Amino acid sequence: MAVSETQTLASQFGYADVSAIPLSYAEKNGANGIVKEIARRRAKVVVPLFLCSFAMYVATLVGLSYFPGLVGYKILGSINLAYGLALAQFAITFLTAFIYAVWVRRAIDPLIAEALAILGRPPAIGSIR
Amino acid sequence: MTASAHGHLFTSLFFFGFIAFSLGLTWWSMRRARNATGFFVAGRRLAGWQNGLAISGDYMSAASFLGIAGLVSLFGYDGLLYSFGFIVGWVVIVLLVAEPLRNSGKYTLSDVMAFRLRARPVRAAAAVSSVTIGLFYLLAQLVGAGAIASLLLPVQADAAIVLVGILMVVYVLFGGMVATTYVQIVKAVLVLGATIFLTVLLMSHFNFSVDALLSAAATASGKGDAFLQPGLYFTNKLDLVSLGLGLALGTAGLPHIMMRFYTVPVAKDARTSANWVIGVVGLYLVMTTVLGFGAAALVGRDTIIAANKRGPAARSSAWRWVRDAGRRDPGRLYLRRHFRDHPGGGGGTDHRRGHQYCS
Repeated sequence: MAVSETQTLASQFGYADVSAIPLSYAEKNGANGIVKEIARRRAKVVVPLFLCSFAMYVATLVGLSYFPGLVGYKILGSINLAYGLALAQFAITFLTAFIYAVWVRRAIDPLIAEALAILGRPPAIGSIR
Repeated sequence: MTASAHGHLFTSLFFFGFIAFSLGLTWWSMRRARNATGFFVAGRRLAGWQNGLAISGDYMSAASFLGIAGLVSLFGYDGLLYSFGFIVGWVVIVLLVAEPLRNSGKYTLSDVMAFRLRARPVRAAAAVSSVTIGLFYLLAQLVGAGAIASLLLPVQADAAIVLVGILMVVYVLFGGMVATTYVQIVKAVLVLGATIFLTVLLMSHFNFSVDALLSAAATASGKGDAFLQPGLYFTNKLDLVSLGLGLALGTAGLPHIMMRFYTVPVAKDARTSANWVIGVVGLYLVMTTVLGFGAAALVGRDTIIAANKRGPAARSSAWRWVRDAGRRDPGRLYLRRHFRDHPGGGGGTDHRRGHQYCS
């Protein structure tokens, strides 16, 4: 039982299931608690981040379709609001990916390392870099 | 030797040189992939940046390079939707899909779905959807590849499509994921380099002023300010919203892109891959739109349409094929004739070939 739970947890993070050493209750409980904490933190940050960026995209599409007069407004020379909105979508995508990357490195990666340490796994297996 | 013949000689040499190089890479990869994991997911040992560049190579295809620039050059602003719709699709992937997909430790999307759901129906649905998406995707890609090859090489577009199709099959069948990954990385670097080079040349023509580029494009199009606003291609308002949603949500359903997330060792590398794609493809997509406006300004709509009619021709012939499929379907034809001749059932005759087909 202990071994199969170890396998599930390790395989969730892409690590090989090699250990046959049964874990103590405290160890299992610690690792499972961390996995729950990871899921809780992700739901709290990732879902609002996604909804926010996607809502801006849908608003852009609706604006482009239904408010042609507004998006035709010229900002600088021939550059109009429609072109600005198109470029803004690239900026929003870059920003969302950047915020997520920084947050996940600070808030999630240490938890994953901690869970793997409890399970006695190495922090990463080798890729050819 | 004429200038055109000189050009063909140069492009032919480059083309066959690249094919020889990529086939060499395939042969080398064939020897490396020793088992199923090696063949299907490159042993799950690719670095995040390598996988990111390979996915970018998948994205920077004939269809996107020619398609987006072409649409922008002919229809102005409406072509831009394809560029920013594609990149928004990556928000969905990086936030919701990439890491869980890698954590599943599977080979394909249907493996992932079969893990939680009933395997047989979900695998059948995934197979149908993958083949359908692949068919329509390949149609556009091969038409694009045929158009480029017939412009640059002294071959007919139909022959080029067959040649390119065979090459793709060889890469995948013999080299597996390792070969396609390295071929895509090389391609990504070449296409990105060429796009940057063309964009710098184009912008230098307009003194690096986006305003000057857009004004020249609007004037040359003959549509004026309407060329820089939505409405020339999407005459129905809902079409724009619908396509925009399809592009953003559909990217996460592209089987050839998603299966690349299984090739990295851990979820962190899947995240790195997605971030590389957003950076590289984002830059590339912005540049293709600039090239589109540049083509409208400097080449002009009439010259672009006259240069190659392959796109519209292929689209209409594909549509005719779909429309006539029911009428042409031999099974349906035989059954209709069979039941006409034998209302009570029983055997019948294949009227086209003149022999009994069942009894």
